[in-house]
Amino acid sequence: MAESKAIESLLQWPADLLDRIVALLSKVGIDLAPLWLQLFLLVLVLALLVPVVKRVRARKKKDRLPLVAAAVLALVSVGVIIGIAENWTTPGRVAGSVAFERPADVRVALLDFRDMTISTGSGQVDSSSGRFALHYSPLMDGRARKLRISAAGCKPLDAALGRAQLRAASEGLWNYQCVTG
Amino acid sequence: MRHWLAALALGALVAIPARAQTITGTVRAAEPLGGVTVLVEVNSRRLTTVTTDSNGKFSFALAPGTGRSADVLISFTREGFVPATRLDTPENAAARPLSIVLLPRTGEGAISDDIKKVLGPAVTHVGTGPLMFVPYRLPADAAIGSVGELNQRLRVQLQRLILTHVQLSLPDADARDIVLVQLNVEANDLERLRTYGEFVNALAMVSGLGIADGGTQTIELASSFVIIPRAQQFEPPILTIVDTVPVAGIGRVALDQRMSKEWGRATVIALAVRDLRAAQSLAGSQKRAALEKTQRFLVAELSDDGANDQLSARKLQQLLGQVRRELGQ
Repeated sequence: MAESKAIESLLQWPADLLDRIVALLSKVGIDLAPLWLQLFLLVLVLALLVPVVKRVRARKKKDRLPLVAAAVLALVSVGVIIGIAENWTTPGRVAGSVAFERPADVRVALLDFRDMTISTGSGQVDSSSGRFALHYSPLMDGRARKLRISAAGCKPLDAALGRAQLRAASEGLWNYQCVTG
Repeated sequence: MRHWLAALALGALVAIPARAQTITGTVRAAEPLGGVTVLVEVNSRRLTTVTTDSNGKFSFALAPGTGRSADVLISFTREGFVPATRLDTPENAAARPLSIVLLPRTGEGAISDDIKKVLGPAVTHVGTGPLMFVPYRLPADAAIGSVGELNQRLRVQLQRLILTHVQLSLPDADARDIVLVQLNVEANDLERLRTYGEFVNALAMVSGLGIADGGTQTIELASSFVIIPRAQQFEPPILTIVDTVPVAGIGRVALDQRMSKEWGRATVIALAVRDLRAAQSLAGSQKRAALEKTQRFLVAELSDDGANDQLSARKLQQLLGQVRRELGQ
């Protein structure tokens, strides 16, 4: 159990690093979808890897770069590929039910790590059962981090969405109560 | 040979274009409802928007090849009705015509059976309804002790303020009309509050909400006073007061200053509308006597400096004008 958690957290770092870069870029006005940044990084790292490998294997000792430089670049490219694969295989559907006194007024949305809406559609829930199904593109927008539940005149509720929860694609139940202010 | 036949059958299956599934249904309120906007989303992408015909019927086709497990979200909206939404798979939605019932936003049809059970004991005869107090929605996390206790204090305070004011204008007013009876229902919007008030024949509905400011130990109170009786050519006002009051002094000075006169005057208007409506159903000398009584207390209310509220003052003038027209003045 502890081992699988360790592996999971190890696999998590490329995604976390990517999130930080995306956040940093958006702060300076460059709003990129995570996928474009991942592809850009991959191309960049692979382009760097070729001359670095050549210099690692250079004949003259003074031209040689330490092996660790190539290893780092290789690791970064593997990390980016893992990140893309991870998002590619994450289901793009999040479904569940919201328990609320006025289901007709409820709206749901998926948020990314910057709290920006990434789900499409109106976000309405079934007014008789409270069921909803949201769709988004994990490959393009990255993994959904939160489910936002809102209703007119009420404070929105943000519920965290775990990686395992998204992968299991199980339908959750969220209780929502109207809190004003 | 057998393989060839199997391949041929498979080829034929592929060659037949996937049939578009058609979803049909009817939208009703008490009767079939035309003009309802039906918006369709498939996997959170807008597919189409159609409108129900005069028989409440609608129909639309899904795109050929829509997956069996796709999410079909259909929302039904029409002005004056609570919207309804259905989420289903294409197969289930197309299996049988959908039957949708839209509840009106106001009127008896807007009240569910559960709420009717709660309201039942509070229903009075038309024209005899007391004021109704729907407990304020107050923040539970503020340092205010029990919310129930605070609501009780508010109710007693408001009742005292209103009664004092009304008795100054109408010494012969029946105090039973001015009792604030508590209704334990949720009413988040004014439309709903009015609907409940009309159902129980209330004179007015008093409700509100509070937003706590934990740092300064105050509550911002938004209070609403909805006058229920309506009279010909007179639309009763909905009065709202927003005030910031200290949590500790919720039953004291801060509320006194504004609510005593404004809510009191609003109650006088509510009583006048009720009496005007009753007078309109009479004839001859009886009608005249009833109208003159109403005129007297409206004049008395206007002669008082009254609340410093333009809306209630204007409505009072308007109502007095209507009574005078009925009297032929």
